[in-house]
Amino acid sequence: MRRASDRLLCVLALALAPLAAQAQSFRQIVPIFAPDPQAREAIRLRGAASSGLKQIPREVVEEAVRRIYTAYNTPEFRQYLSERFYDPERLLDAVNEKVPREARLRLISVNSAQTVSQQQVKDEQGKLVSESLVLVVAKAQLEFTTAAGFQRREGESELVLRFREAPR
Amino acid sequence: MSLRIALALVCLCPIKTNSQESEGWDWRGQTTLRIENYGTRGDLSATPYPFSNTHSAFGLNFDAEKRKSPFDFSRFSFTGTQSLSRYYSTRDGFFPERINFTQQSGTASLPYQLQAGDYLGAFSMRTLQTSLRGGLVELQPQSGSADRRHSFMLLSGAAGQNYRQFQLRDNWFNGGSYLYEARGLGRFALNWVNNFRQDDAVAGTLARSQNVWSGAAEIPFTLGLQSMRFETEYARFRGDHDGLAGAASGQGRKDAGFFSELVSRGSKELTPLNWRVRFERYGKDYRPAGAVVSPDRISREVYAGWRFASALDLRGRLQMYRDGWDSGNLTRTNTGGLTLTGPLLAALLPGWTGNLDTYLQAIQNRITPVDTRVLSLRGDASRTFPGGITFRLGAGYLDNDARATPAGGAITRDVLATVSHRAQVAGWRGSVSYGGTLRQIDGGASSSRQFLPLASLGLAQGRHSVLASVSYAHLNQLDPLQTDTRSTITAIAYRYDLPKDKLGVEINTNYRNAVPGSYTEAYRLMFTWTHLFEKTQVAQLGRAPLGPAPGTGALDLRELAPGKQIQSLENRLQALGLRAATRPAPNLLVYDYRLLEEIDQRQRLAILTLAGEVDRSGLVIDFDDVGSVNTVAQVFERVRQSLIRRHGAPSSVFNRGDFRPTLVDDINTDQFIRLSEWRTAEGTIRLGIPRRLDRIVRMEVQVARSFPDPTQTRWSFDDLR
Repeated sequence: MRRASDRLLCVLALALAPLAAQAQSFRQIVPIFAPDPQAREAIRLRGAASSGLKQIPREVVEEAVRRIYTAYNTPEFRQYLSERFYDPERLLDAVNEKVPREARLRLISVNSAQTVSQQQVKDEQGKLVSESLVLVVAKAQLEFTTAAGFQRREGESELVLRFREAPR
Repeated sequence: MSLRIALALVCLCPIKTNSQESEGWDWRGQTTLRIENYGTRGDLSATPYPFSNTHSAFGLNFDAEKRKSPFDFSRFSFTGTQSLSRYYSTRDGFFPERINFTQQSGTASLPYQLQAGDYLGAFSMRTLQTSLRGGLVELQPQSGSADRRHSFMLLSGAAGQNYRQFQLRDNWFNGGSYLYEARGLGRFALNWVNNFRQDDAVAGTLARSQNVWSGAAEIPFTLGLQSMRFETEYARFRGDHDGLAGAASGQGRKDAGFFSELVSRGSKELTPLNWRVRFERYGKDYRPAGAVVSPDRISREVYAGWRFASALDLRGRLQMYRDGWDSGNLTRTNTGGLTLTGPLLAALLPGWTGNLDTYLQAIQNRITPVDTRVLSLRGDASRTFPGGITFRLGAGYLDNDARATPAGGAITRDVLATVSHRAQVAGWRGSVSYGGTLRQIDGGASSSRQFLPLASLGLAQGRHSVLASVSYAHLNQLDPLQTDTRSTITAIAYRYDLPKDKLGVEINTNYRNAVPGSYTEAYRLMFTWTHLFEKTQVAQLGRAPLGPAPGTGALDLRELAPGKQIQSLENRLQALGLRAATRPAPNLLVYDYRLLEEIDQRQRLAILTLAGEVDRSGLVIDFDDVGSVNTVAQVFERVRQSLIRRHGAPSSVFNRGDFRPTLVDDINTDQFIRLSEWRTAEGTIRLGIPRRLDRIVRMEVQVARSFPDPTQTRWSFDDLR
């Protein structure tokens, strides 16, 4: 089975915030709180200096992957590409121009899903939201028809899904 | 095979039992059993399911966390699959997929975080952004001010491998990163990444050793009414890559990469405006193994957006790419595009929302040669009419004019239309949609007429839910020498949800007929069983106290918890002076009662009964005026604050969309969701605005043992209008 190592950085915009230009391309500090007044304030507000990492439920992740793959080669695909995805318009233009119009991406299996980080960030409107990064390995096949007949292209991809939800 | 499946089933029990013995750890997880049967008749080369017969897999997700103090924790997570499925792997066996152990301490003299196993190695797009298997340590020395932070990160690990064939030296990364953040001043980073790969005589690859260094900065500032952010990174590459003309051509190279971006967001009068300008340049030998950028490219990009008062969003883009600029095989790609999203033509066609997208693109390469002009126009719009009927219309035009290739161009035109509305059958409720796409492709080898109708249905009743869809595709090639195809695809999925278990059956069929040619019939029958397990939750900081619910004075929501005897609850309600219950449905009791004293809106208690006990209960709160978005938002927030005062901070919150004039449509199209949940010993309390088939917008506070997924928005008391 061929392995496609395309890394897809996607937004599953649970808050449905418009994707504005907020695309820092190098890492940010996720603070490790020490017992100082600031941390005590954080505890008062949130219950712990560093809130525990809660895995995004697998069914939510699978549903997200299914929605993304179903949207492939349709106008809806655009909404799932993060502003942090490298050259999103170029990918969309290439799919629009080069992939057969009736081609569909069939999800075969979601092999693993792991929430690797969670932090509070400001969204495009400046509101605090909880952002989770989830690494997913999924198998899929592109199906289309050419003059040579039915075509099936299998691949395994690692996706980075970004889930956002507004905190309390 | 059946013995192995039985062993997988047995695995469910020991996991649960052993885990409950651990002290001090909170843990949760799930197991999923999948048994699939595949079959194909006819032309096997055209089946989407290349492996027939039965395939099974058993997956395990497990997460545990131990918290010594609010500043120190350890965490473990594991994902693995026992597979007998060719659709999962070419080999049978157990596959550990992701393992991670994390320890973080804020009370150590030097606050740190350690990670071992699988983690995301991410310094910057130009140096490292890939998942790694190895170890990571991050140190955050205290600066004495919350406005200034330092972070040192060191990591080592391998990428792109599985645990069963793990070879560190096949793609080994080592790296270090220093990051300094100062409020108002910005962020500054220094990164270093080394990548090593051993040579492989069979694959014909040489040993690879490369280093990439980078310095990055982000500086925020204000200019008039615009909040600006300038970000830049300069990176140097030195070492080996896979080569441009054979493996040897990639040995001992050096090159550079540069990125800069200026981003603006308007304020006050310029609030609707945002724009950004970006420049990137990468040499032909700038090929870090862990980076995500494209080598041998210069990019110049400008994006701008304006959000109108009507919520219409206009975005434009200008992009100029120069690929192969450094290697002498230059491809120029120039693109200009406009996108309009939101309530289109609000004055002429009120209620219609949608998307218009267009771009022009020119691609030229004088050596290959390539001279292609692309014009793409696409639009779609939808509207929900009273009665819950939603129409969606769309059209697309794509002119792909390949001028350097004789008869290589093609024009594609398509139109689509779908109708969706609610459905109710024998107590099952849901929605149905149907429609189709007509497409015509003129020019090139794929000239054809295509007809693609489809229909889908989603119904639910209690713990049962069914999804079904059928689609047909008639691809009629205009060239008589080519093959026409007709295919029909059906899918039916049934799910039964219990609080800790989810059972599902799904059948997919594919029928394809090629003329001239043969037919192919293929199916997949799948059974799934997901079991959730977790340690019994104890009281946590920031959550509701778990003491006994009050039994005197004003009524408390927890007194309506599932499992309570109806008789004793009715006695309690009588003691409060509530006698005149209405029964909109045989198992639904409704009382007019102001449970939240500080809320003026009409409140009704609703109690769903099952076998003499409370099954689900709650409070239904009407909005006075759904037309006033601000009022709705304020009342909802007042109710939420009222619940926070009673039950503490919510355990979880799920929000989607904003309060805006199209609130009713947004709720009914799942674009707007508001949920807050409090987990208590008596059950989960949920506040939200559920979607209803009658389009009534109201708040509901419900108490239940569990609730459907937040995106399953139809959790209202359906029989209470």
